[in-house]
Amino acid sequence: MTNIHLDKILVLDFGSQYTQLIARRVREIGIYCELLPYDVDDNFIKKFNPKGVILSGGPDIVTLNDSARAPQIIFELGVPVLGICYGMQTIAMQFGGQAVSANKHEYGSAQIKCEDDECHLFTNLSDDTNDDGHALLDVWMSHGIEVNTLPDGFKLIASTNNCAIAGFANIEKHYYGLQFHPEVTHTKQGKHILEHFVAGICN
Amino acid sequence: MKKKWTTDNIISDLVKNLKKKIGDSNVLLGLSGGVDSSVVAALLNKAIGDQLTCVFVDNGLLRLNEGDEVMQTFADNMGVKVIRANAQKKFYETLSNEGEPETKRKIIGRAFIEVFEEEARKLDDIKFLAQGTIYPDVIESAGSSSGKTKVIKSHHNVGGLPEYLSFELVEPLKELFKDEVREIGIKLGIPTHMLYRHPFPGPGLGVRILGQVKQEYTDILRLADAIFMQELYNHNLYDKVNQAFAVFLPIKSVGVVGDERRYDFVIALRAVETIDFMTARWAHLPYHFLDLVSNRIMNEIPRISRVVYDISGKPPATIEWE
Repeated sequence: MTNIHLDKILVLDFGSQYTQLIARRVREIGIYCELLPYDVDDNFIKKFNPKGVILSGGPDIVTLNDSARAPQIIFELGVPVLGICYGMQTIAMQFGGQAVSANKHEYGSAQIKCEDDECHLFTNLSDDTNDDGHALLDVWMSHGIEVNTLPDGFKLIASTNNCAIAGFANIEKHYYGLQFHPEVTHTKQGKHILEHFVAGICN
Repeated sequence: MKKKWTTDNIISDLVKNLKKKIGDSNVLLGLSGGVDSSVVAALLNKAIGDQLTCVFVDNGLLRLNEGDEVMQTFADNMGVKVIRANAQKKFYETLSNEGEPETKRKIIGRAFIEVFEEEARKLDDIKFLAQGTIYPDVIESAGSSSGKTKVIKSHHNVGGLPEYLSFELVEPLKELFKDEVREIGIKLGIPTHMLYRHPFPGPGLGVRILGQVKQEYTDILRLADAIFMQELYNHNLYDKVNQAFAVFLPIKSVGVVGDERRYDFVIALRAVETIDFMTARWAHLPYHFLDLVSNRIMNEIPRISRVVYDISGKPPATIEWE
């Protein structure tokens, strides 16, 4: 009989109001996941043995020294990691990138330009196309801090008019960061983006 | 990864695990007619059939025909063993002369435990107690912890069952979100309107009758509430509001019937739109609709002289009146 719990995703919660939505979207896609606090015990994570990890958003200010960080163990498991909003910012900090208080805070609808096809998160997705042929996606933003220096080994995958680095990826290690929220329905292709991650990239 | 987390797969997985855990032991479930306990009942019925006994406590504070409907759905249609404890009298008696909302809630909770316990004691050889705990009840959120946290927090316990009723717990829904629970309920044949009903407080109509609860008042309120719900369904408004109900105000207001002045009770109607129930705005129901409901209530139910509509937002008002 099918073991429906065998292939699973770990969602680590940094305190965003949307965290439960991430878990619900992953389940709707058809993959089991569990939601745990970001500072859950390392042994639990090892034993849980996820096929991929999603880091949620959260209210912390990533530039402060004592702000929350993703447990190092998730980067030693050899599985893909997707950071959303705060989750992206902490990946940046942990891999030698930088973040700053954004000049223009972004709350609400925005449009991202997909800068790269290699990362597979946005494959065949677009709500519109710009003159250069880049796919554009309507997304939901909610942040006052943004990544301004890419971490080592990462490249740009998405940007908006206000936010130069709205998404990045380390293609080789399968680490991804999205500044917008794919888990909310205002991000039209959000569920497909998550599906590309959990059903495509995670294996 | 393959998509294996589907409603059908979840059901077979749950049934398999329930069979394994329970074996040939007997299971007791407090069935309220709410979404979670209803789905637990249907699941256990599928997994272990007549090893399941449900106790449904009719506290006299339920909505119109609610008790009969629970019996029909589970006992008649699904063949579940359901003991209906008709405890209306006990609840009315213990509530008499009590008008303070918090005390009323406590009395109703305590009376429920007593009735449930009394029924449980009549049953032999029960090993497990089933509960409708769902995933959001057990999720520990970030920020609630300081430093490294324990792995998983302990599960919610039954609301105060005495310790000597030492059952082992069965919580088949504890890794599911509410929408997943509803999907399972649909597959298992629970009527849609039971699964998509507005939230109903545990103390039932007991907190929708302001002050003292009397059977006379609950009988009136039940009818008024039923008219309101019926018309919401008829006008396709039920799913457009997130919670709607009637409230009984035990005050006398003047009316004129024929040529006679009469002092009778007041019914307040409440309907709100909300996403998370933390904040809410009063639903802007059409005037012609409110007019129709008000007329029906005053014409069809004796002892009502006036119907009012609650136009308070939350905050500062709450959704319920008590």
